[in-house]
Amino acid sequence: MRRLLVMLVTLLAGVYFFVQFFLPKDLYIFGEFYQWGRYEKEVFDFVRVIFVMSFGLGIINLVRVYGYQIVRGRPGWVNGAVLLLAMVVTIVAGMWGKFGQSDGMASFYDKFLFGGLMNNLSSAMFSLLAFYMASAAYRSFRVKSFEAALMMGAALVIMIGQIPLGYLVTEQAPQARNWTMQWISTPAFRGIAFGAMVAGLAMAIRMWLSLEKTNFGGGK
Amino acid sequence: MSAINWDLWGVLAGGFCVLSIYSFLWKENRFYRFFEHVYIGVATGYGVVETISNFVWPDWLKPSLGLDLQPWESYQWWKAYLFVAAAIGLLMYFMLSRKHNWIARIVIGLGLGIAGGMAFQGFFGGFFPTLVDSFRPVVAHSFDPATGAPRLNWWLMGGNVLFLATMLCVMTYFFFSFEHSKPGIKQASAMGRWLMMVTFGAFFGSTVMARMALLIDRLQFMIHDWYRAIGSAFGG
Repeated sequence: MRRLLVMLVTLLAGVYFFVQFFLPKDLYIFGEFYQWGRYEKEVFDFVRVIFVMSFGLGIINLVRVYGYQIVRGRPGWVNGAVLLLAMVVTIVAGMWGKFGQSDGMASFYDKFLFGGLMNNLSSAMFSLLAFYMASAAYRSFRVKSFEAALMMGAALVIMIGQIPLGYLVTEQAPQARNWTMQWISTPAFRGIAFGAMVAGLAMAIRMWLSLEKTNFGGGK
Repeated sequence: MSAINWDLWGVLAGGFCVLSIYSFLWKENRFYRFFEHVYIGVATGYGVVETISNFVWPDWLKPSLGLDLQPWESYQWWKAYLFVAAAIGLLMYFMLSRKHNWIARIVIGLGLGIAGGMAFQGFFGGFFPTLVDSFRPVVAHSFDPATGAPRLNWWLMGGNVLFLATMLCVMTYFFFSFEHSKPGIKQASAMGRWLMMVTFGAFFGSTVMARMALLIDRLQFMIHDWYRAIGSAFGG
């Protein structure tokens, strides 16, 4: 019974978006025009509000996981405390700055927390991958096969064609890069994407029709 | 509080953040762990604040509570329908209960159903235009700029043939409805694999360049902004 309810909700939830795409904008039924999609903004806001509520769930989970660590004094509890403190300070400062009309707090939030901490931490975190890619390139680009040679050659063409120094190596470097991207990379990617899109649609239909049982608690 | 120069303190703290994150290249250490947790905390808080200030308040609470009304407007009760959505969203919190966690699956099912329905829009809106664009004419004309007379554009024709051949070879590689040992199919499949290797190499090169751009940006920040900020904070 419970599973049936979940399956029914899943089916009905998808009907609106499915029908919205296939029906014409102005629907003529029994002498009346109906505008399907007239309340599109309201429907999307409804859906957004439902899923905005999950933010609280995320925060509760963070507090549960790290709160337990702090209370028990488990290894790394200081980091857990720092995480929760940073989260609380950001929320308080952000809300105070945006809704409390406090210029000082807004400046603290925008310039210190966002511009100073978050911006720099995220950029540094993602740029760290440049080093790991260099070490991964060493492993994968050793020319052990014809395929590896092709991959290395293409990567070199792209990288040399993208830097100003590449123009000094050969004036054709940017054109070679663009040519590879336009006539080889794009069609090959589309060939892969077409298969993935069809598979994605099949998977979406299976989920919508509740044929994927794992989402509904397996066989229970 | 407004007397504090948060620009300066932001740059100073940002420099320490960058150094702490890069210290991971030497080995895993407590400074990296500390700032990694600061990042998660600040990013979570930022997500909450921006969601509330950009959506919850202006698009939900203000219209639902009638706080955005002009003096000549009257409150329309149906605008409170978003509180029904909030009540449905609250069902997700049953996930925390062992006994009633099945109720949370209703909301998860709702999300899956919406995603399934929207997949049609995404598929037909994205798939077909791309498909139509991909099958390009193998005979292409261009017009002489001087006389306006049509003539065969051999470069474009060559490019289009290459484009089609590449796409069909790659699709053949993933097509398992017939055996790949048959003549013609075998060669097309092998060619598809090679062309995919070129594509993966191109993707790899592009990704490396994107990461390098971030790295260069960080280095510029450290050399110019942070160095100057240290000078003005501690040395004048």
